[in-house]
Amino acid sequence: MKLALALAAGLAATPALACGPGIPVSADGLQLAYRIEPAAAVGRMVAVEVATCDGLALEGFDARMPIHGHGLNYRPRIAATGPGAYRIEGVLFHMPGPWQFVFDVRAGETTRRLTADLTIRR
Amino acid sequence: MKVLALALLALFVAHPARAIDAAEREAILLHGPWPPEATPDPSNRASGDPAAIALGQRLFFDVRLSRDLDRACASCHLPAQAYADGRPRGEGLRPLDRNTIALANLGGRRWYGWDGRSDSLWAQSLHPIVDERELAASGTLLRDRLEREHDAVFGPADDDEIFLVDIAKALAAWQETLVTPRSAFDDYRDALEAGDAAGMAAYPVAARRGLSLFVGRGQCATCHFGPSFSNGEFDSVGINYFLGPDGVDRGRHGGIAALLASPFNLLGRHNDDSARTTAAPTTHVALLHRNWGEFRVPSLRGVKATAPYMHDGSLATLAEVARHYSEIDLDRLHQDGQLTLQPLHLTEAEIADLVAFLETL
Amino acid sequence: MRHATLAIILFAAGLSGGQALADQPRFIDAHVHYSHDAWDRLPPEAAIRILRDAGLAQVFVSSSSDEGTQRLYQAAPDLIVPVLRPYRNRGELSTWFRDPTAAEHVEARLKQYRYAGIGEFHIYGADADGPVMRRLVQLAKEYKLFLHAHGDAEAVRRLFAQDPEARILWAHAGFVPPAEVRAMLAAYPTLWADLAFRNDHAADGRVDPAWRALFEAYPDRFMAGTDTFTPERWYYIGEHARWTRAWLADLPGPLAENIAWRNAATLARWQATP
Ligand code: HEC
Ligand code: HEC
Ligand SMILES: [Zn+2]
Repeated sequence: MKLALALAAGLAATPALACGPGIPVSADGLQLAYRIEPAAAVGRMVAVEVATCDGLALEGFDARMPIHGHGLNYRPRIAATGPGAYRIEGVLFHMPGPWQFVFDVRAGETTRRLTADLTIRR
Repeated sequence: MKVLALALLALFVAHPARAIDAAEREAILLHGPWPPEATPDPSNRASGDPAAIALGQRLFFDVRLSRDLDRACASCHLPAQAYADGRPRGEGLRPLDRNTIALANLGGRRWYGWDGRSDSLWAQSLHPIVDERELAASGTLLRDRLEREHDAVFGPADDDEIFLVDIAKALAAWQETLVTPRSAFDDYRDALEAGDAAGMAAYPVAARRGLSLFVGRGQCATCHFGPSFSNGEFDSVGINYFLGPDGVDRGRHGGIAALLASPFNLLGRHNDDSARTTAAPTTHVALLHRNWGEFRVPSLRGVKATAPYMHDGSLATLAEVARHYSEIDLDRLHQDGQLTLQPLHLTEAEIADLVAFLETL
Repeated sequence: MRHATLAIILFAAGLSGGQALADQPRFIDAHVHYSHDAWDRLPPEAAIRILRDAGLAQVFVSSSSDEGTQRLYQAAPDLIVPVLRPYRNRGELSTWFRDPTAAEHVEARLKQYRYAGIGEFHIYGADADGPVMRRLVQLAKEYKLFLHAHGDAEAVRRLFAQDPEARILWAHAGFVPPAEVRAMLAAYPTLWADLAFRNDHAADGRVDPAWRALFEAYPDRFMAGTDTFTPERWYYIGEHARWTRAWLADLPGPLAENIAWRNAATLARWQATP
C-alpha cells in the first residue's frame, strides 16, 4: 500500500544530489529532485515537492501517460516555497501504470524539459 | 513466500488448465477488500449522524419533496431494482436524458452523476428536488412542509437555500449507508489473498476466466479500477451521445460547466469543511476538449441488477456491453487520447466468461 | 479566481448561441471532418448552420469520403475550403498508405474538383517514404496544394525530404511539446501547425508562457481547429470557437488575428484550379 511508486531503472541508479530530498532527475547537467506527498495512489490528489539545483527555475509541470496518450484531468499549480523550492498542488493519477513527469526549467536564457518516468501501481 | 506458493498450488488444483502469475494476482487483489471502511463526509455535517440518516431515509420516499406531492426520489430509484428503474432513461414530469443511476457505494467519491456535475453527494441529491423535470420543488416549498422535521435535526435554518441544502444533506447521509454486500468475487479475492484453496475453488470457473480477461487482455481495470471498479473519472468508450434530433449530450464538458456555475459546489458557502480540503478536485479540475461526450466510468459493483447499461441505457444486457467492447469502433475515439481500448475480438465463449465474471460482482 | 473566469466564459457560451458573424472576431477553423456518419445525422444545411452560428469566416473540411466535403462545398462555397482526404471510408486511417488505390483515388478527384490541400492523413515514421505517400507529395506539388499531415516529426521530415518546397500543415502540431514544435518550425519555413485537440497552450482564457513565446517567434505559422472526429463533435464547433476566441484575446491584436484567420487564409488561397 505504501510503496506506490517505482522508479524507472535509469533514475534509480543515479545517486541523490545535495539540492534537496527526493528522487533525482537530471539532464545536461541540470538537476532537480522531487517528492510526492502523500504517497501516490490512483485517485488520490497529491502534491509534488520539487527542489532544484544551481538556481534552476521551475516554470512548468505536467504529468502524462505516454502509452495511453493522455495527461491529467486536473490542472496542477506551481507555487515557489523558498529558494529553489516549489510545491505543485493538484496532481491526481487516474489510472495505474507508467506515467511521466515533465518539468520545464529555466537556467538563465535557456529553457529545458526534464522528464522522469514513474509507475503508479495502485 | 510460502503463502504465495500455496496460493499457486491451490489455483492449479482448482483450475488445472491455468496457473496464476504474480502480476495477475496483484491486479486481482487491487479490487478489494470489500466493503470499504465508512468515513464521514467532511463537507456534510449530517454525515454519519443517526438522526439525519433516519430523516434522510424517510424523505427519500416522501412525496412532500415534489411540487405536486406525487413523486419522490424512490419513484425513479426503486429499492426493488437496486435503486435504479430498469428503463433506458429516467422518466419524471418529463423524460430525462440519461439512465437512472443505481444508488450504492456513494461515500467518498469525487464526482456524482454521469457528467460529474456535482462534487458532493448532497449537491447531487439537491439537484432532482429543484429540477423541473424531476420533483420541481424549491427550498421555500420544502420549508413550508418540513420545517418541524428539519429543525429537530438541524436546528432552524437561516434561509430557504440553507434549508434546501440541509434536506439534501440528510438525504446524502442516508444514501451513504447504501453499500452493496460482499459478493462471490470478494470471497474469491480474499481466498486468493489468504491462499485458501477451498475458498478459491468455490468461484465459478467461467467467472474466473472472465476475471483474467478483465484484468488482463481486456485492460478493463485501467478504468474500472480498485474495489469499486471505477477510477472515478470520465472517459469515452465510443457510445453515441446524440440527444434528440438536433443536439448532443455534452457529457463531462457540460458537467464541468454546471459544476463551476453551481452555488452548491464545494467552493461555495454550503461546504461544512471549513478547511476546504474537500474542494481540491473542484479547484483543479481541467476543462479539456476530450471532455465533450465523456461520461463517468461507472462502478461495476452489483452491475448484474442494474440493466440497461451506459449513460443512455442503450445496451440492454451485459453481453451487449461485452460485445460492444469486443468490436469497439476505434474511429469513434480520438487517435491520440485513448489508446487503452482496442477491439478484443472475443469469441462467444469469452463473452460468456466476461459476463459470468461481471455477474459475480 | 481562475474558475470565476472560466465560469464566465462558459456562461457567456450559453448565451451567444446564434450570434451573427459580424459581432465576433474573424476566425477560421482549420480542422473539420464531415464524414459519412456525420452527413447521415447532419445534412449539409444543418452542418452549414452550425458553422455560421459559430461565426466562422472559413472552414477547412476534409472527409471520409470526400463526397462529404463536396456536398458542403456546394452548399456554401464562400465558407468551405475543400481539403482532399485519401480515405474513402472512416477506418482506412492506419492502412491507406499501403493501398495504391488510395493514390489513384486522390489523383482522380484532383482532376475533377478544386482543393486547397490534401489531407488530413495519418502517417508515422518510415511509412512516409512509401510509394503511396510519395505519390501524394508529388501530386501536392503538381497541383500546388498543401499537405495536412497528422503524424510524428520524423514523418514530417521525410515529407520535406521528398519535396523541400512542400507546404505542410502539421495537424495538432504533432502533439509534441512546444520546444519540439519550435525546432520543426525553425527547420522548415513552409511548415504550419494547427492546434486542434490540444489543451496545453491555453486554459481559462490564458496562454501558456512557453506557447506564447513560440507564437511570438512564429506569428505566421499557427492556426486553430476543432477536429470533428465523430459526428457529435460538430456540436463542439461553436464551443471550440468561443474557447479559442477567449485565449486569443490574451494575445496582442495582430498576433491573435494571425492565429485566428490570417495564417489559415494564406494556406486557403494557395488553391489550384483543375
Ligand atoms: C425522475 C427520475 C429521478 C428522480 C425523481 C430522482 N432521480 Fe436521482 N437520478 C436520476 C437519473 C436519471 C440520474 C442520472 C442523472 C445524470 O447523471 O445526469 C440520477 C442520479 C442520481 C444520483 C447520482 C448517483 C451517482 O452514482 O453519481 C444520486 C445520488 C441521486 N440520483 C439521488 C437522488 C435523490 C436523493 C433523489 C430525490 C431527491 C433523486 N435522485 C430523484 C433519476 C431520478
Ligand atoms: C477507457 C476506460 C474504460 C475501459 C478500458 C473500459 N471501460 Fe467500461 N466503461 C467506461 C465508461 C466511460 C463507461 C460509461 C460509458 C457511457 O455511458 O457512455 C463504461 C461502462 C461500462 C459498463 C456499463 C456499466 C453501467 O452501469 O452502465 C460495463 C458493464 C463496462 N463498462 C464493462 C467494461 C469491460 C468488461 C471492460 C473491458 C473489456 C471495460 N468496461 C473497459 C470506461 C472504460
Ligand atoms: Zn491512461
